[in-house]
Amino acid sequence: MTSNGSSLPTQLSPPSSRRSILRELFARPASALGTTIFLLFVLLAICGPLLAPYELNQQIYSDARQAPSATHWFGTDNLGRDVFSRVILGARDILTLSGLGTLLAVLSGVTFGLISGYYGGLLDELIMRFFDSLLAMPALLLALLLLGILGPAVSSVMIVIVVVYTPIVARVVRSVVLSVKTKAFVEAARIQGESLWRILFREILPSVLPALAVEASLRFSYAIFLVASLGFLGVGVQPPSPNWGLMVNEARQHVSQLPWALYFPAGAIAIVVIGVNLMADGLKRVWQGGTVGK
Amino acid sequence: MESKPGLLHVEDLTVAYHTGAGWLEAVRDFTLTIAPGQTYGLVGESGSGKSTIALTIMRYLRNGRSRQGAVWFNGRNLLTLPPHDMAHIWGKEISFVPQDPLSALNPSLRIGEQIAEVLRQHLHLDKKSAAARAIALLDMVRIPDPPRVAASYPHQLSGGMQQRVMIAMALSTEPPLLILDEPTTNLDVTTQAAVLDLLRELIAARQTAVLYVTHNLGVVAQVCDRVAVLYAGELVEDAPTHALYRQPLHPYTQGLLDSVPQLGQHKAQIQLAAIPGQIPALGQRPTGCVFAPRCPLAVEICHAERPFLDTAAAENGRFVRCHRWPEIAAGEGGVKKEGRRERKREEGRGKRRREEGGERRDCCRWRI
Repeated sequence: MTSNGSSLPTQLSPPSSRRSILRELFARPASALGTTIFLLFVLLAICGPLLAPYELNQQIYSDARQAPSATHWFGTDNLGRDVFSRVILGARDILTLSGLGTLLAVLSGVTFGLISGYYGGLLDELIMRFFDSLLAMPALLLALLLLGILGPAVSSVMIVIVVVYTPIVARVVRSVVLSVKTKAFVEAARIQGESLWRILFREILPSVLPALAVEASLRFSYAIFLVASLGFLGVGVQPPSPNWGLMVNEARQHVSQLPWALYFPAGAIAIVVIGVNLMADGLKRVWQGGTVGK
Repeated sequence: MESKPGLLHVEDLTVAYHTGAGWLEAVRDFTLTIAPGQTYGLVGESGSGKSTIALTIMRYLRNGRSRQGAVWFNGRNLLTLPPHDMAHIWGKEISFVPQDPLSALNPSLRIGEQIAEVLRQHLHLDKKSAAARAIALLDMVRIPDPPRVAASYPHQLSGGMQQRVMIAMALSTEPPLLILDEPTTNLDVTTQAAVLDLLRELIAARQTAVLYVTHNLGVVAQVCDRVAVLYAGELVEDAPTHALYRQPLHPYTQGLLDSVPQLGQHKAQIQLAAIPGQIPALGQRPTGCVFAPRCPLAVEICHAERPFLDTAAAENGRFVRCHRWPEIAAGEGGVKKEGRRERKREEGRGKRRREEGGERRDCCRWRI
């Protein structure tokens, strides 16, 4: 009984507080590494312009095609642009685009998942079968198809992320809703006369959050990958934007002479994707470890 | 139709469940009237249909259907009310306290938030005043250090605390009717007594009408003004609590009272009289009185003809469904059994005690 001891500290740290999640993430080496990488790239995205030694599209013809050196850490490309600056400045581009896209995908996935799972029946069938048909297509193929229709633009890439990932998020949310909605506390909430909105978002959603956080971080890492892939294929973000995938594509033609112009952006993609993945895995362990929702 | 008496009037209610063997009637011709501010105990064994009745009144019955009858609440028949209107009655006009508080509380929401949800829904309070009110409600149910408990999660509280939280939630909207479904069954005896004391005090202060569903006769004696005894889905006796305990008119009620151990009795003094046999399966109800196969007083007519709910005493509203109740009331014709005589002797002792300790002590004898 934890209730009658007024001598106990009044500050109860609930299991799901942000602080303790971070602490748990840093308790494991792998997830600590992943989280550090992710936070580092977020930092780059925020203060990239302060750190980058050169302008984004500043061309220094005299320094073109240079190998990595003290003045150009990552070397320069065939147009004389500083690769290091472009990689740093590219962090903001790719993280905001994939982050915002993931956020929108999560929002729509949660909405569809909650409605589909809670109502069940025909509505559920309709929504889920439609999503199944979307999932039946390879993600990249679907993305190319959509971009073919929408035309290459930043907003199109965002829409692609939403369309590709909404079904996956909705599935995860729905599966949790299905197991939660028959619980006595949901029935108790109904019988207390709570409105549908309150039941969905106040009673059920908190139970979905752990699974959702894991899924969202995983989706985020795949979204980074997708944005880079689309950039590489030349159908997403257009030059001269510092999209890492686009940079890899541009450097591809000169790979034998200027390999650094390809390696560094490609490495950046790999590192950030691995980092976010490790973090997602760490989140999953935190919640599976049973700290939340007994 | 004549005006309906009371706050809640359940009229000739028959509820059936659909099973592989067809429709089985779990509750048959059930009638009950609860006046405003009255506490009513609904007593019966497991499977006697008491929870079915509670859920039917709430219109929250799963896979069961009310086939006949009506549930009048404030002049409206709840059974024919559109679902949308029912949602306004839930929690606002009729509150329900379930048996297991832990599973009824959301594990991922803090106590304060959960209470505030109800307040915001029904009383349209803003976030801040709802939170303040939630803490006041926790204080009302005598939870120590309410701000801290409000910030806790359900699993961090003891069972008694959880049930107090449920009661606080149920009473937060000041509903005219409160339905309690065995709210103290999972609690230990001392906690149960404390929760019952609290409950009695709260409902008396608010004049809340209560339907208290339980299998525990002791609890009923402590809390309720009137008792309805249910057997195999039928109302067998309906009487004021003290009258029923002083002189049960239905053999089943007698059997129930005899099978309750009493405080201050040595095991050598009395043998608990268990009722032989068991409650009949829903599909195999006897044609006559449902209790006849187990009844020590059953005669021919009991097996042949189903008794109707008879008015035994009009002045205080006693109803009994038994062919032989007049004989039982008069104590004639060998209707007294060994166990009964034993109990009578006990009652004499109780009377003495009552003279010493007042009316309430008498009821407390029945606490298990």
